[in-house]
Amino acid sequence: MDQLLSPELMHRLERLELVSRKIFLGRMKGERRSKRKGQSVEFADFRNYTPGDDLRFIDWNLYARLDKLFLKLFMEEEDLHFYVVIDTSASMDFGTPTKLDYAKQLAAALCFVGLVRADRVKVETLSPGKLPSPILRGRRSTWRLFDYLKQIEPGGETSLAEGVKSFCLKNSGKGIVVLISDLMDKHGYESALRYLLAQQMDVYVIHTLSAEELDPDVKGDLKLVDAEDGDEAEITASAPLLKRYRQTLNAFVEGARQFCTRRGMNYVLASNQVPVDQLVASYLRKRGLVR
Amino acid sequence: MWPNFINMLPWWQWAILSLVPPAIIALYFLKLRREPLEVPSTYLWRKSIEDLHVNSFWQRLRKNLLLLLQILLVLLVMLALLRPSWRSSSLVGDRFVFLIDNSASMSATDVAPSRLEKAKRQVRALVEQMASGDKAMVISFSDGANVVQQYTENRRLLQRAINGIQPTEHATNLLPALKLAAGAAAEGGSSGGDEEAGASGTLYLFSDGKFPNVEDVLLGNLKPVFVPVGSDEAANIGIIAFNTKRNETDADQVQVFFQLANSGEKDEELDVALYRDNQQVDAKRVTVPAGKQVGDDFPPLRGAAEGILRLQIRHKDPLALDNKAYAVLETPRRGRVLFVTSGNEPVQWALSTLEAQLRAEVTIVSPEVLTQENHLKAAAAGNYDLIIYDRCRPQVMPQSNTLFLGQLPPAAEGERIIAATKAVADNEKEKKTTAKKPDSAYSLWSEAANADEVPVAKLPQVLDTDRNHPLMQLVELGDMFIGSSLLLDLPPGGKTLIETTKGPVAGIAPREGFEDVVFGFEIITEGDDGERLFNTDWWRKQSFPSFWLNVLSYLAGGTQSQAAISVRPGELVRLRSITPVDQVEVLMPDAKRVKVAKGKSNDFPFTQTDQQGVYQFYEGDQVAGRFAVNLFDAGESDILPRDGLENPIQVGPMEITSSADFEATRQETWKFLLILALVVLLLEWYIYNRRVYI
Repeated sequence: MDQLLSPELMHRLERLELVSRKIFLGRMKGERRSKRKGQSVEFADFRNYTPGDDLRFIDWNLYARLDKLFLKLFMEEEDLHFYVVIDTSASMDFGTPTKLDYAKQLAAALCFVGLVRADRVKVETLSPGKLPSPILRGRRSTWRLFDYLKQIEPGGETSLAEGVKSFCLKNSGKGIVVLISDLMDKHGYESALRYLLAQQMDVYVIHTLSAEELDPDVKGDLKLVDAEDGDEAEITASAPLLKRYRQTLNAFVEGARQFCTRRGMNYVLASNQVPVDQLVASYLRKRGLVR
Repeated sequence: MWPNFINMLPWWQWAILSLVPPAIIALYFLKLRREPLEVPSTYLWRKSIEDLHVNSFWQRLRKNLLLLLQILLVLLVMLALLRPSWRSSSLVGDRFVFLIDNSASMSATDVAPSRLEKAKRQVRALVEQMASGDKAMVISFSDGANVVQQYTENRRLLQRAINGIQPTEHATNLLPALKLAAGAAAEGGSSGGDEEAGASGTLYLFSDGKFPNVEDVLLGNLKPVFVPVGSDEAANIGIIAFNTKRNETDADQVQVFFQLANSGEKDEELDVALYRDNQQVDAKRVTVPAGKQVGDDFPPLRGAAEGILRLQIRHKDPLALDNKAYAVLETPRRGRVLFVTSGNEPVQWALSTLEAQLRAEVTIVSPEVLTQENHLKAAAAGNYDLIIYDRCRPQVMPQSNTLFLGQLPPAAEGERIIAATKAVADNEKEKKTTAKKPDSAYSLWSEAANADEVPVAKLPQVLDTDRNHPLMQLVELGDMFIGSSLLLDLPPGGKTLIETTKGPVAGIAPREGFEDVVFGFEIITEGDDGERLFNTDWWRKQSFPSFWLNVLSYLAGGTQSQAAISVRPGELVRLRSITPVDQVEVLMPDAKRVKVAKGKSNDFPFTQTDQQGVYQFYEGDQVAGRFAVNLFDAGESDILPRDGLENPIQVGPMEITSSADFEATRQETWKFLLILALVVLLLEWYIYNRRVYI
C-alpha cells in the first residue's frame, strides 16, 4: 500500500464533488435557499434597512431612484465540512487488503474530492491515543492528507461508541460525516450511530467487511481468538455451523442497514474485494455522496 | 427372535479386540486439540454458536461423527466375528437320514420358489451344520423311493445329491421311503461298527404330508422329525377327473366330463376351457365350493372323430400341474371278434345286426381251428379284441377278452400241464369229457377237478341281474327260461352277472388286463341223439340282441376304443400293437422318442410315464395308438400341508409330530456385516477427506 490513490483515480476524482443532501433539500424548498447571507460576490436579495445595519451594504443606486434605503444581501459562500471517521480497531486489521487499508483508501479518495472542491476536510480515527488530526483545505493539502493517513495504525481496544462520542464532542457543526467501520463491537453499534445522528449531520456509514467475514473458509476443530479482546470461541466447522454463521451475518448486516435507513442515515456495505474507485465512482455516486 | 452366535475367537483375542474401541476414543480425545485461529471478531461466531448450543448434545455427536463411525466400524467387525445368524436349529446326533418328498404337490409355489426348493434349501442348511464325523444319507420319494446319496460324511457329495433332486409329477407314498431309510440306517450302523450309534439316527422328513399313514414299518431307533413344507394358506384348485364318452346312439358326439377339487378355504369361481388339438372349442364357468369336489360336463362335441382334448382351468394357484388334463379321442374302430362255434344261429343273427356290424367285425370259425398253429399265434398276439367260445374252450387263454357259452375257461396252470402231456384237444371240446386231470384245477371258475364234477343246475330261475354292469344294461331277464346251466364259482375279482335260484350262472372276471365272461348255460345244445335243441328261450326276447350289442361295445372295443385309457404319472402302461412287431416307439409329450421292446405277455410295457400329457406310440411309421397321462389325484391337488401337531403321521405304532416352528435355515449375516463395515469405512474416508460434517 505505497500509494493510497493511483494517478488515474485521482484524475477521475477531480471531476467529482461532495454533495450534502441536507443542503440539497434546502435548495429545493426555495425559501431556505440561503440560511445565512454572507459576503460573497453572488447577489442574493434585498431587504429594508434597519438602523444598525452595515452602511456598506446599502444599495445607493436604489436609494437614488426610490428614495428608500435597501440593503443588498449576498450569498454566503460557505465551505462544506467533510469528516471521515475511520475505525482503527484491531478487527480492522484483517483481510487482503486489510479493512483498515481499504478504509484509508476510501478516506483518501473521498477527502481528495473534498480538497479539490475546496471543502473543509478532516479525518478522524476512533482510537483513544490518536494523532492530532489536521484540518485540511485546498488541493495542496493532498499530500498532508496522505501523510496523515499513512500514519494511522490499527490500535488496540476501541469502543465504537466512545470514539464516536469524543468525535462528536470535538466536531460540531453541519456537514457530512462518513463513518468507515466494520461495526464489530460487542457492545453494539447502535449507541455510536445515535451520537452521530444527534449531530444533525449528513451521515454515511460505510460498513467494511472482509471476504473472510462474508464467506468464512474454516475447517476442522478450531479455537477462534478475538483480535481485540482475546476472547476465545471453540468451534468445529460444520455445515450447519457455517449455515448458522451466514444467517447471523445476514441478520447483522440487515439490522445495521435498517437501523440506518430508518434514521435517515446512508448505509453502504463494502467488501474489501470491491475496488475503491469502483465503490466511489459508481456506488457512492448512486447514493448521492458524490456527483 | 434373537440371533444365535458362534464364538470364533478365544477369550484373550476378544480381550485384545475389546481394547480397540476405548483406544480409538482415547486417541480421539488426544487428537482434539483445537487449532487457534485469530479472527477479526468472535462477535458473529459467538452468536452462531449460541444458537446451536440449544441442541448441543446432537451437536456434539455431529462433531464426533468420525469417532462414531470408527467405533461403529470396530463394532461391526466384532459382531461379524460372532457369526450371528437367524432362525437356526441345531442338529442332534451324528447319523441323519433326509427324506425329501418330490411328489407333484411339492411343485407348488406357495413358498418361493417352490416347496421342493425350500425343502432342498433347508436340507442343505442342515448338511452345512453337520459336524465332522457326522454321516447323512438323502432319499427322495414320491410314489417310490430313491436313495440319491448313501451314508457319507462328504458334505459336497450330499449337497450335490440334494441339488440333483428334481420334482416329479407322481403321487406320494411314504412306505417305500421309510423302508429304505430303516434298512439303510441299520446297514449304516453295522458298517460303522457301533451298533448303537448306527441305529440311532435322526430321520428328517421334508414333505407336505399328503400321504396316507403307513403301517408295518419299524423305524428301529431312528428318531423321526417331520418338517412340514408349505404355507398354511395354500389354496389350490385341481382337475381330479376328465373323461370322454361317445354317445350311445350317435358315435359322432362326444361327451366330456370333468371333476374339480378345491382345497382352499374359499369358494372359487373360475373358467374351464376345453381345447381340441390346441384350439379352444368350449369354455365354462364353474363354481367350486371350498373344500369340495364338483363334477360338471360340457355340451357334447360334434364331429370329434379323433384328436387330443385338453382341459385347462384358468385359475392362478400354487400348483400348476393339476390345472390341465388330457384325453385322447380315437376314431371309432370296429372291434375284431372271433366267434368259435359249431353252429349257433341266434348268436350269429344277433352279431350280424346293423348296429352290431357298426361296432365289430365278426369272424365265425369252427372249433377245429383252436388247435391250428395260425390261430394259436393270432390269439397269443392279441389280434382279436374278443373271442367267443361257444361250447368249446382253448388250451391256453388268448391275449384278448373272452366270452364262454356253456363252458368254463381253462385254468392257466392246468392247461399248461395238458399241453405238456399232449392231451387230445378234441376231448376238451366235449363237455362230458372223461379225461382226468387230478394234479390240477380244471378251471378257475370252479372248484371241480374236472368237467364232470362241475355242478349243473336244472331249470334255474333268474333272481337278479347286475344292472349296473355295462354288459347288462337294457337287458331284462326276468322271465327267461333256462334248461340247465353250469353253476359258477367266481374267481377272485369276479362279478356275478346273473344270479339264479340255484346259484350264479353268469359272471365276469378280470384276467391280466382282459376280462372273461362266462355263461354257464348254452343257447343251443345238442340232444342225446345229436339233434340241436334250444337250452333257453332268451334268444326270443328283446334283451338278447341288446345284450350282444353290449358285449360288442364293452368287450370288443366297439365305440369305446382302448385308447381312452388314462394313467397316472409313473404308472405302467401296457401297449398293444396292431400288427406283430418286436418293438414300438413312443413319442413323449416333450418330443423325446423312446423305443419299447416287447414284454413277456406279447405287449409292450412302458414305464416312463413321468410327464403329464399325451403319448403316441408308433409301429414303424404308423401311429398305433395314444394314451394320456394325468395326475388326477385329489390327495396331490390338496396342497394344504399336513399339520403335524394336530394330525401327526402315523408310522406303525409311532406318531411323527412336527416341530411347528422348525426352521433349518441358518442365515449367516457376517458377510453382510463385513460389507456394512466396508461401507462405513468408505463413508469415514469420504468425510475425512471432504470435511463434510453432515
